[in-house]
Amino acid sequence: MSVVTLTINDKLVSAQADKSLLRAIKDQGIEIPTLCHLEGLSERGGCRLCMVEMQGSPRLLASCVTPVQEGMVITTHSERLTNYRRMIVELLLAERNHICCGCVMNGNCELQSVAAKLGVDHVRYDYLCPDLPMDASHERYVLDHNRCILCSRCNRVCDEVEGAHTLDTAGRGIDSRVITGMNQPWGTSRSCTGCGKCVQVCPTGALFKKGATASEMVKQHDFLLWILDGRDKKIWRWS
Amino acid sequence: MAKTIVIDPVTRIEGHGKISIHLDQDGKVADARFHVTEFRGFERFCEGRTFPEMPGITMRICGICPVSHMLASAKACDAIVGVSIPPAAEKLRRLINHAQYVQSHALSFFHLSGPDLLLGMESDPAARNVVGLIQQHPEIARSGIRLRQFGQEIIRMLGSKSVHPPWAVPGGVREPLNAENLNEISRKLPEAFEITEIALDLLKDRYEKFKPETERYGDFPSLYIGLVTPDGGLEHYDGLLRVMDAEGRIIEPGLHTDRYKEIIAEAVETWSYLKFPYYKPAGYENGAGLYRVGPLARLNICDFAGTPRADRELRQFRRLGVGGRPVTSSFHYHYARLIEILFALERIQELIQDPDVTSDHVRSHAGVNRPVGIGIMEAPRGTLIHEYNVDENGIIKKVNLLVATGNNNQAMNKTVRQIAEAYLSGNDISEGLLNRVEHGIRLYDPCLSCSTHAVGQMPLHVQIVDSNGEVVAERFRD
Amino acid sequence: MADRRRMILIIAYGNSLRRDDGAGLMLAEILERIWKERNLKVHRESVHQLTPELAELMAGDAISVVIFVDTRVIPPGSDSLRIEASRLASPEDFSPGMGHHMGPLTLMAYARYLYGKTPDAWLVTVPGIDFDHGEGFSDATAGALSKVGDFLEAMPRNWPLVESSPGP
Repeated sequence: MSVVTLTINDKLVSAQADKSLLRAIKDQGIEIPTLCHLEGLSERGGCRLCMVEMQGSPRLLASCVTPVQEGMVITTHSERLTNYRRMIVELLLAERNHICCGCVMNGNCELQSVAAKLGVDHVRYDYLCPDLPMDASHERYVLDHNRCILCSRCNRVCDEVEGAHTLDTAGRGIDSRVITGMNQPWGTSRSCTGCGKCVQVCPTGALFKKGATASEMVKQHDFLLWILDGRDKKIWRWS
Repeated sequence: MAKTIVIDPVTRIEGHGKISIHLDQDGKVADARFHVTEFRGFERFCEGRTFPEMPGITMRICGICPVSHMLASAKACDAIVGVSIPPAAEKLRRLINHAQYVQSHALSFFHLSGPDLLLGMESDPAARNVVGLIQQHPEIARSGIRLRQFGQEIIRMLGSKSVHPPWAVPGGVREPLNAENLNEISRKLPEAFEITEIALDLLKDRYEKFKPETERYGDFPSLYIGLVTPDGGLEHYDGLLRVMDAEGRIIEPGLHTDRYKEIIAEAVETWSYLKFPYYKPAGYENGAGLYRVGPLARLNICDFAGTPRADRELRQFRRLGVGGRPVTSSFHYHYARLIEILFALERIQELIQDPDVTSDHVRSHAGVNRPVGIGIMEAPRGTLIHEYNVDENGIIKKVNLLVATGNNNQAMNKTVRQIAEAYLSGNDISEGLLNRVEHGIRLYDPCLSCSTHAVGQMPLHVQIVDSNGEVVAERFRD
Repeated sequence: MADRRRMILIIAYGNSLRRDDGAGLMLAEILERIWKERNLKVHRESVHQLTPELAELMAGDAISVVIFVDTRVIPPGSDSLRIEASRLASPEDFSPGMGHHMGPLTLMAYARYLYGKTPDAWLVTVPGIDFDHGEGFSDATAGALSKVGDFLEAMPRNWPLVESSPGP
């Protein structure tokens, strides 16, 4: 495996050539916010929180979908980046109805924690307050569009890991919605195996176990690597 | 030309807390209206959500009785899933409710009503307030704080293991108590009893002094509604709806709470967008269906308290009713509250000896089995009703809340009217009148804090407007 | 130096489900974060409303200053859009004609007369206009919150800590 050398935050580092820039940054122990990225799933480059500056490029790069290259000079934290990251989180908060205190994920929510880490104290944009439904037709899980940030982790885990592809995203732009089956109530979907992987990977309270009450939902992401390592590498971590 | 006197508490949220006294052409009091808290906009939060979220949402909307809303909501949710919750869960819910009574009634007695009771109605307003109280009676005020802390600590043990959780959930509760908690409670219980007994003595010592107030403070016959145990005992969490008339006759011995609409209907008045609940069989006209809820009502309707010390006090309380009739003066809400603290403490003492309260089997699980869930319990201020309609997937379609202050709506109006009739002369808005109107409202411990966060805040603005529309007298008080 | 390690007690009150009513709670979190970054000792209590037992906390031995944080009602269109701070008078100095409700001054009196402590105290307020049901703040309130840096800048250096304790 070939190795490239690049500069991250003024430090010369080396990384395997097939790795993403995000991986290389994380390997340096640098904390960088992400929402659509999840170890074990394909990258989407959707949330744009992992954007970094690269010398010589006027554009910012989403590090999760940028492969490392020889000689890159990367900055992961700057005032400009923090401003953009805050703006992204504020837009996410303004787009749907994120009412934390009654939410099943309050205290365990990735959106909430990213917002806190970025110091998002308030939202500068008008709340759109869209009138969105919840789909509670599934026997065990609930889909709440009010809390969805369209990160598509659920789509990807359903397709790539479970292989059912029950979940997808329909519509464009502001009208995008996660759908189940052919946009039918979740409970009527014949492809859904009820495995619950989508629920576990969802970063917010958009997908949760039926019956969960405020602050009660804790999601386990590590199951994903556990399954994948077992399936692909035959390494079973029993702990 | 009729005149209107408006006593307007300057509150944060528009649409509640205004008092107006209406005079006829002869300057006599014709009517009084107290506009209480409304839940405008609250439905927006609930409709479209799944029902298990309701305890968490409703407990957050009200800061002063979150435990009551949480429990009423959880009971409504139990009804939707149609389960009978584990015995341990029921005992734990009762325990947290008793703790809530202790802290809530203690706030009312020691801190909100204390200045009036201990310093006297006619005392200098500059000193007749909590500061005056704590300067003159620091030990009593400290005791009041300790009693509140006792209740709050139990609530904290049970309810606050994570950030703002609804501890009561559909089907039960989240967590039981542990042995350490039990030791802590039993260690502090004797002091709580002691403080309550001191408060009882304080109140009784002053009864003679307050005889005029006793007679004029909402002393009128009315119906009383509240919950009782199946055998007619004092009940705060569950049970059957009982109705007593002004003569003390039990006209509804025990109606299942699911059938509450057979006895409680809601009227509408043009001058307020609030509902006016009334006892349906008696009708709304001329106040026939006017009823009272809360401590006074609960102690009137029950046959017995069910714990030794509370029963001993209850027998004394009964003597305040003339000729075996119910206790009618709202002034006795104070006494009733103290008896209920005693009752709650005795029940807590029993419960902490019950092995169930440390059991891990505290939650049952089930799906949506009924389209309607009704949860009725007794909040410290009175009967609290949560009713939810859900679709087959458990999505909330409709929410109806009838809070204790709403149930007392008509009675509060009548109390203000009675006080105004006795103490208002001409256009003179005396300090005594302000104090008494304020105290009259405070007897019901109205929950104005559903929307704002100032405990006990009741700044007054009184205006007298003559027939030409000119302000002839005006008074503000913060 | 020992003085600088004393505790700042922040008491914030409001209803986070009544829009701007919860702005004080938010400001308290911001202040807590800023002060902790400066290595100051901070304890924050965020409550729905003020209750008497908070006085016991205020009277704690480690507490050198109490910061009450609340929303201040302003009429729409008002130009008083800044975060404001005022020092609370000691209980001996204010006229106690304030009815029965629990305000910061009442709690000051509680701490003084029940527990013999008079910590330095400030009331910091954020302007608020919209008290409807819901989360999120009005533009005016959000704007005021975003200027917390300017607010602290305008306060004396080392505020809210003072060099000498005015304790009892």
